[in-house]
Amino acid sequence: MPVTLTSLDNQEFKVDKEVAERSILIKNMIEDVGESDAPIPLPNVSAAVLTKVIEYCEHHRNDPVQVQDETDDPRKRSNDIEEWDMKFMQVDQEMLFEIILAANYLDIKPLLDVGCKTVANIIKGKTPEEIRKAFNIVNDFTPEEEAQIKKENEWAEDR
Amino acid sequence: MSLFSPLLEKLTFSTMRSGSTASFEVIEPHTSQPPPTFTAGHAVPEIMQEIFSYLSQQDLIRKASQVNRLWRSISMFYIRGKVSWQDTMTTKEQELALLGIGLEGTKILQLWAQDSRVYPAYDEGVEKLVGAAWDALAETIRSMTAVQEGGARLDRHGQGNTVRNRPQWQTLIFCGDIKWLSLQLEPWILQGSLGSLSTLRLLHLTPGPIDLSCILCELSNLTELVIESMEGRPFASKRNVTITWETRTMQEEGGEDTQEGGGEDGWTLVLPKLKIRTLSLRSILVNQSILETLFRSMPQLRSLELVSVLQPKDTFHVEKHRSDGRMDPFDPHHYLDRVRLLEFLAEHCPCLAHFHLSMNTRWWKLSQNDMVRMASRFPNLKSFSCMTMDIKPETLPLFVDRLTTLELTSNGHLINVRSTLHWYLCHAPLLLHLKAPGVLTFADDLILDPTWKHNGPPRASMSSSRPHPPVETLNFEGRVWACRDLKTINVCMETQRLLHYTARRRSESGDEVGSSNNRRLFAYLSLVCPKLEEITLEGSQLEISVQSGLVFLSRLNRLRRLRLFVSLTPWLEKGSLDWMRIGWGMWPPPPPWRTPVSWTQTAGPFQYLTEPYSPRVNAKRQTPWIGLLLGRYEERRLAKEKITYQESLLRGLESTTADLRNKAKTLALPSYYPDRSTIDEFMRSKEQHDPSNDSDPPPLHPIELVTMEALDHVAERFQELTSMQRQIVEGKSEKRIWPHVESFEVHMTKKLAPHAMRCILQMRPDLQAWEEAE
Repeated sequence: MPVTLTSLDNQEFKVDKEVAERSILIKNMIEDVGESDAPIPLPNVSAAVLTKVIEYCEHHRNDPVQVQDETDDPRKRSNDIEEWDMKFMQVDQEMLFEIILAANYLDIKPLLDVGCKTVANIIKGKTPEEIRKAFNIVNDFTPEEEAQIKKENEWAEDR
Repeated sequence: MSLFSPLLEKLTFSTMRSGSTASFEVIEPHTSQPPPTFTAGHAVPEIMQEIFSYLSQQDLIRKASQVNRLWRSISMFYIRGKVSWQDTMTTKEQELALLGIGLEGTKILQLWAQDSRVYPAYDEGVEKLVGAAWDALAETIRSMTAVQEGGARLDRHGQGNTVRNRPQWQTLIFCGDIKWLSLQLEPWILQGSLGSLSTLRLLHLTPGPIDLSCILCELSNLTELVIESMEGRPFASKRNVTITWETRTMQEEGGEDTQEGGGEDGWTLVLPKLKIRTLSLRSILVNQSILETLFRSMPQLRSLELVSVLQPKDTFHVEKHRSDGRMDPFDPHHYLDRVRLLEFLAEHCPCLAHFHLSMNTRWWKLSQNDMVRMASRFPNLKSFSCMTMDIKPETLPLFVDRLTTLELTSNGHLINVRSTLHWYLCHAPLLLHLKAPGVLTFADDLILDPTWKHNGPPRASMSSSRPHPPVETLNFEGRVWACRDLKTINVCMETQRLLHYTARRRSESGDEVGSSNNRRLFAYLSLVCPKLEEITLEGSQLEISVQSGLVFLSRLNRLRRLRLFVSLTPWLEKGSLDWMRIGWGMWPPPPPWRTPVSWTQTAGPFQYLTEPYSPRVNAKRQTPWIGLLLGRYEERRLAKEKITYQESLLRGLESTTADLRNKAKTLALPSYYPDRSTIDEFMRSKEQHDPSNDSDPPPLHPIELVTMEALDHVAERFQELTSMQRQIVEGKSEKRIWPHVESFEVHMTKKLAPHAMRCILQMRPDLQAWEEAE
């Protein structure tokens, strides 16, 4: 049964219920409201972002629910993004963060993870100055604080 | 998503999930630049935390924490500032280390209290008296905690002018002399200075009493507690680490309210519920009633290890059970009452997911009834660990449909669990982690001989008159590992076939027999367990040469860590590891002085060249004139033919494939193989399968499982890799070999094999970064 989703800019998207329910938020809404033809409003997600999100959910519609094994390695890794996901995330920075925010809002954990891993990978290859430039961040440290941080990091590294 | 509210107490925000647009307050920048647009710099802090959780310590320290205040405040949460303090280091150096990171930044404090009787301090600057060294440490910490307003330090929120005066240690590791534990640490604990501790590891302790009441009553946030004696076997020495409970005496004397009575030895203490999820006691003495008190107060316990835990000599159990005839006559101590212990645990710790219980002695082996009790009374047990000496043929079948982790520990004795373990692996589809270092398994079990009727290893009869079996008989049901989702394997893999082959086939070289066993092992792992992420293999015949079939492991797209322990110097020939860098061509060529010797030794007019090298290097490494001559020849040839890096790699793979095919033709097939035409037909059908589809594990085919040690398969894999490389060169594919690998180590006994590691790091310089991070 299809579900209708309405974006911030009032565009309607018809998707399979199975696909829509990759979002825990939508799944809970459907469960709360019951069977209904009424469109589900998503006032925090634009049509462009919702298109991407639906594309992701379509591709992963049959993925099993990930259950964390307590005996698994607890370290988080960012280098295990699947090839399709990697290509999916090749968007401009603004869209990337919009997708992450939408995944957070819609409660789609795998999409949120992939987005965060992608940003982490961007950070990994850059110096602090390059990071500031890439993300348009202002350096608000005073010179004294910078000196102190540098000193502290000398001890923190390789220890 | 986890929220770290203390971290964000100065940031008020509401996420979009709560229904409004993202809005939050950030610290005003000192500069007058215009506010940035919506980017990572102003993303919702909880998302920033999630992003930062994927960064390594080095990235957090060197990059994220230096961007701006907000980034610093978030990254500080994840930076594991670690200070290692030893009473054999100079006092000044240690003070600087502590002051450098600061109490706020120090998350892990490792204290090594040397036994001054064994390690007297002779070096300049090192405090000669251990007590004085400890006093110096305490004084440093006191002076740091005394700093108040006005300091220039940044707190965890990136704000200046505020200093916390409490340590925020999360992990404390204390090793060594137990005397200093009670003299120095216990006062800190009682003062409340260690209230933030979540992990306490007391390791390698010298003999003496340790008061657990102090630790457990004061450290309310503790989630992990490890206590380990330096004695391997507590019954080997009369002196040992003994857990005591100081409040016990008081209660026995005064009859406090907390005393319930009813314990077998007359007392039971009721503790508040503890948060401990991991408890590990190794080689210590503790009264069973104290243990039960602990278990009763640990309802959230998930992981429990009791290794060589005995009751102290002074308990009345000794006399009681001596009359029962259940005492080890050579041991003054008494063992725990297993039945009572297991029942007690099952009742009070229902969440137990990991359990190890062993005594490492033939006097206290686990019985089958114990195993049955563990299997039936702990429904949440997913990870089981035990000594091989406690394993019986009927033990592992009890856990077939439930374990995700199986850990087997060998105590050095050659206890054969081969058939039991192989049976288990063939019947345990849920298993994800197999950790059995030093436990012998046999590659002989991995081959499928369709005519194999007995329970032993396959009999490779070499009689030429014996006909090849028809393919229809190749049934492998129940004889191939069922754990197809296995992520971790750590075993010692040997073979019995080497002797068998050399006795029967004297015409075949021992090298080939050794290589065929390697091929079987690597092929089996890559076919049967395609989701492997971590492989640790030990074996006297492990090789990393071309013929050994290590290339089969290139099928493992999820591989992160590969460690091989070999007995002999790993033999590397030219081009052995070239396939490792397929798809990683962006690495700049290494400087000439890092070119492995084997490359320059074999590079000649008829060889392809994998790396640029200088005649000067050749001249140094070989006979000077020959090296110079060959070097110049190759340089000119490459310049003339304009051979690129990718082209040279392609040529190398093609050359290796051709060599392997030629050699494979000369080898006779074992009699249990299907006939050659059947194999050829299978190879043709395999070509139609799309190997680029990573998400699907390769289908198991009986013919490949029977013939996997054939050299043809190695040639076939090289052919596949050549095609893959050609696609990359032509820009049709961006695939990479081992996209997630972090380390590949080759060890000779305990040491890294330097030559092999040089070659590996040259193929994959990205692995070096991991090595540094470690």
